[in-house]
Amino acid sequence: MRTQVDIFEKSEVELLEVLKLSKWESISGHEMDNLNFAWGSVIVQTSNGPVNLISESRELDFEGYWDDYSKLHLKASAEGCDAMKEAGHVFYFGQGETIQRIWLIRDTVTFTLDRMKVSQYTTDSGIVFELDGTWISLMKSSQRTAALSVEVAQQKSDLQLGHLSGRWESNLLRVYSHERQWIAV
Amino acid sequence: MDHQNKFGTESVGKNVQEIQSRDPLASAEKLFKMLSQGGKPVSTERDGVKVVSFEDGTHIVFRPVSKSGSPAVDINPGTTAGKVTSQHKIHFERKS
Repeated sequence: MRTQVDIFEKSEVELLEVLKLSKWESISGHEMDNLNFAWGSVIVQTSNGPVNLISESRELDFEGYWDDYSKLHLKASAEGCDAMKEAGHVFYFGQGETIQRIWLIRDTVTFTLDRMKVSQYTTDSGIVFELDGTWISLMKSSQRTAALSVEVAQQKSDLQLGHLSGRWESNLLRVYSHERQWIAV
Repeated sequence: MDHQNKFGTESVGKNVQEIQSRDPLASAEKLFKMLSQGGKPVSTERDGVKVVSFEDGTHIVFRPVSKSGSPAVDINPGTTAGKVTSQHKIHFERKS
């Protein structure tokens, strides 16, 4: 079975650990007119510093043909934040609340053909922050492009969090199974 | 569009759609232009790649060339458009 794993490095997860119990300040994104869409970069500002969620798309050939797959990275950097703010692409919901818990959203899709597992793809699709009274998710908007989306909710169950089935739909020939894990940071 | 409200036909053995054309690049550009109406152009750093976004998060990506060699248009529906179609990518292949 061919496999591809696109998950955060340990050092990247450590950047998130630093944010726990810090105060949420703002969130900004490249081309982020509204929360539904940012292209390539979303920056969270906290009292313990910034973290930049970067999404990039690249072509891989592990399903038996070349296709686009988006991959997430984390950097402790606010590079580009000033330009985002100048363009009005900044949001202040949750400001002053404490970041209580953080999760990684890890998805796995397994492709089965004639009951035989052909390929498996595991990827970190986003991050969820639980503040005092607000839940905020930063997710890949698409599994093929650099687009990101942000969601804000009063409770966990109200988060929509996109899913893999849009990209990998089963049909008569191909069967895709999807699995999602919430991994506490 | 096919029975799943996707452009083109399912490419054999691949999780992508396909449209055959005598001029694949022109056809891809034409579809992108049509789907882009009313959208906001997004600045990207990749040569030749064009992106437009819509208020519901829908975004359309045009790639003049992909590693498979053919131009491609990527449709990524947001909250509203997602009720009509699902995420799909269309490769434009030269008609033989």
